Amino acid sequence: VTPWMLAVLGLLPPFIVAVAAASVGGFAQRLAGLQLAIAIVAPLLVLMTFAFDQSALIDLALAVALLAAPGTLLVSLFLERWL
Amino acid sequence: MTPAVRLALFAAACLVLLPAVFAVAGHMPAFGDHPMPYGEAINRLAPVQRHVSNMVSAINFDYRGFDTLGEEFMMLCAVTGTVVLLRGSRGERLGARPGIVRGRAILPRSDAAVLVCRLLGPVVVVFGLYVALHAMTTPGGGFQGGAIFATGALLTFIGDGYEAWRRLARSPIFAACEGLGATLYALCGFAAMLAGQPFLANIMPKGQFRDVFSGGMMQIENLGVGLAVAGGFVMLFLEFLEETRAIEPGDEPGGG
Repeated sequence: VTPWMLAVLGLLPPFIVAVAAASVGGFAQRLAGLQLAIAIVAPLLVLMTFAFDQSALIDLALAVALLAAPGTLLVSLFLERWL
Repeated sequence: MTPAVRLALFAAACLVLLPAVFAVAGHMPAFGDHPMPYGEAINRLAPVQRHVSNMVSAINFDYRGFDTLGEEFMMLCAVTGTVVLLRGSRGERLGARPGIVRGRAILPRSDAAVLVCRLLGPVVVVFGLYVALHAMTTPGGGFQGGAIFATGALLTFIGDGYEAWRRLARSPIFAACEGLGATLYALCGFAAMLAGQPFLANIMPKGQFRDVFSGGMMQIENLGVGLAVAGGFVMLFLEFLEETRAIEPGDEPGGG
């Protein structure tokens, strides 16, 4: 078991808690929970890149990090105005 | 149906279905052992035959390239259908008042949100190009890159509002991208026929394994898919965001 794998396993419980937070409550709380889950999953993917020795995986972390911001902003804009 | 009845129904369904789930799980292949001869064959052949390391691209653009041609035109039809349904006489003027829900104030964008969008937009567009260009070596490809590119363009709407978005995203340009992308893919097929090969045969030099420009004609097909997807997604965003405008006198609903 490598330190990378231990770090991946260590980040899994907070990720599960964040997903649980994203699946209950009102719109705003779910959005906040989703944000927390994304903030955990991006470093999780980076760690998995090293844990599984698949260098191409790091693109996924980059994609999650870059696409989370527009997605959240768009959802919050619609929440503020129309939903 | 009250929540209590729904829960009871769920529990009853679980009682019936769970034994079946466990029975199926018990007969699954062992961990790491999978009966997928096609995947094994592609993993063995694609690096040697086509010099690419992204097997998904090898299947999409080469081994089953003809299917992708069909999918390309399916997407073209879907985007065209959406545009025809949603576009009425509205949307000719670039300026627009946003639609208002009664009792909901329209707050101006905060400076922080505008700054984040302006900084992030170009970065996301560059990342989209990167994903599209590295189709043959890393996960991703034209479709994913095109979608990310369109997301980058959408940041204009999120940051600077509807007017700026309409000034930037001119629908004729993106309609042309969409059509030209699909046409480029089809032309690749005919180019192979002109060279005396079967439709969509990979007639170009394959390049080096793990090089960005490996894969031969898959590169051009990938470019076609990227153009079509970027154009198609921006067209969809244009039509859907138009639905957020207030209806002006003289506007017709879509379908006009």
